Amino acid sequence: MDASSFSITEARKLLQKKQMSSFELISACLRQIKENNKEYNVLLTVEDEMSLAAQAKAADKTEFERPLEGIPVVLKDLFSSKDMRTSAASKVLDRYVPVFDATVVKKLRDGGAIIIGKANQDAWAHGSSGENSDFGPTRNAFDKNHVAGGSSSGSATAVALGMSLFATGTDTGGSIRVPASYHNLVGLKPTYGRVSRYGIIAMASSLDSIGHITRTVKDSAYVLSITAGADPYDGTSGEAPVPKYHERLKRKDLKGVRIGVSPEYLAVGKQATQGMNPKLEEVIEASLTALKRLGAEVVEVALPTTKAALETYYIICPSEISSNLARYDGIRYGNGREAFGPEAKRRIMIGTYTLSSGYYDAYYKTAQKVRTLVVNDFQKAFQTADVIFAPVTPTPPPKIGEYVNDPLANYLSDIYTVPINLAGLAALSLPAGFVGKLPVGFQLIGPQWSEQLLFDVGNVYEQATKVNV
Amino acid sequence: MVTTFTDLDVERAAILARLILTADELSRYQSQIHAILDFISKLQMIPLDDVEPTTQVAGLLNVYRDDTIDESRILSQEDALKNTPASHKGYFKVPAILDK
Repeated sequence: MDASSFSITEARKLLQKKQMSSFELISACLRQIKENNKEYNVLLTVEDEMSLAAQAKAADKTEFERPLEGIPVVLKDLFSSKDMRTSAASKVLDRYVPVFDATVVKKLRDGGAIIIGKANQDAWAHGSSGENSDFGPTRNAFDKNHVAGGSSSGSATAVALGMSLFATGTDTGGSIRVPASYHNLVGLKPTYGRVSRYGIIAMASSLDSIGHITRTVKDSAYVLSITAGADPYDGTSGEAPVPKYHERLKRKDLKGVRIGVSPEYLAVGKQATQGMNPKLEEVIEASLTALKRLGAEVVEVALPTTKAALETYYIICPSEISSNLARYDGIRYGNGREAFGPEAKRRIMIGTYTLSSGYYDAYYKTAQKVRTLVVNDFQKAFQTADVIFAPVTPTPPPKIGEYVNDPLANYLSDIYTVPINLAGLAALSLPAGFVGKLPVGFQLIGPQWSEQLLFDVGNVYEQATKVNV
Repeated sequence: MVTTFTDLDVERAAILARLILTADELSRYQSQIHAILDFISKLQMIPLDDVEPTTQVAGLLNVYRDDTIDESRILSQEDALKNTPASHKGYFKVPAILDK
């Protein structure tokens, strides 16, 4: 087995026993980068080879006590990394080199991780296909004619192609869960506030959630135990204690776990996309059957307002975008506003409009009220269900260019993921199987701060199905 | 009543957002933004009389920091200017907004 395809857990064992060196691990990932980066358009910046070699050799002199010592990581290009270009995949920041690290980046570095590169993405994280990058779309590792999924496109493709063992991402409306699902990987959208947003280029501040893409559920739990926690630099980060999630995966089956399914939630996705892909529906159905076989009890839950969640999202999100992107004036850093790409311009204009005098009540305030109903719906549902089961997307990864002239059609594919962000919940996306050769995923949605339960349930499913090993 | 979006509003939004659009961009964005606004305008049909708005979901209230200077967070003048396209004697150079 090639070193670049190990999970973090496997790699750590070998590193600690000195059966593999960090240098070998980094070299294996670099080989994958050299072989595939051009073709799949995955990494926008690759760290200098000499520097990587020096970092790996330094790690090899240790006993690998730090949690990520000598382990490669790819960062989504929204994460500020000191002395390493951070472009948000936008021409506005094509030469921007941060002078500080995001809190998460600092935590990863302090944990011993080696940053191997910065990943392509939809510019400013605007999109769910990866096609809105100002530097061209990332291609799906399973079929390069199809999209990688976004907005954390390069993060997922990098892990799928063995360029890194894991990658960071941000999820404002599905941006971790979608590309992870399209690559047969595990995607975590933590509870809003679980992981600090400090130093990560903001998209929509009340929705942005900082997570990661890994090969296994255990790895996902492991990384969260490093990245999570209150941060004095992010006033919205929560004080909840951070357990060693990965050491608490104790369940052997799912007896006693109530999994909620909402028929109306599934129905809105079908309406939005003129009927869900039937093969995808079968694959998703089979995942639910697998969870039942493992002992879970399936209960029906009502989520009536989720029908309106997508409209709500596409008011709140561009409103916050227009406000966050107002700072880019090309004076202190970056290029001028003419350098924004088409999707950023559309979202800025929509958001400016929905916040402008005379329209604020009709759009923004209305959306904030509907957001309350979405939050209430989930709260009620979690009285009878421990977690909620749903697909991640209504279709398998589309062909590159399929929706290029129809931004609204692209928005509609976010139907299953955005309600979770509106309510600030935790969600874990897991591999469900394949439609042809293209992977698809499902998600387990939990109440705020329920990451441990999601990992526990996800781990039982993964052990029983092994789809992603 | 449902508020609708007119072509004029796209131009106004662009001006408010300091975006300069070509005529070509303007006509392309108009139809796309129109479709999106038609879609999000449906929200106004939901009865919301007694519903309070949700502004954040962090569940936190009034988070304060100590009123002290955190020197570890202060950029040096050199670092602060590192990414600017135009500086002058240690200051940012900005376009003039007043006539002489």
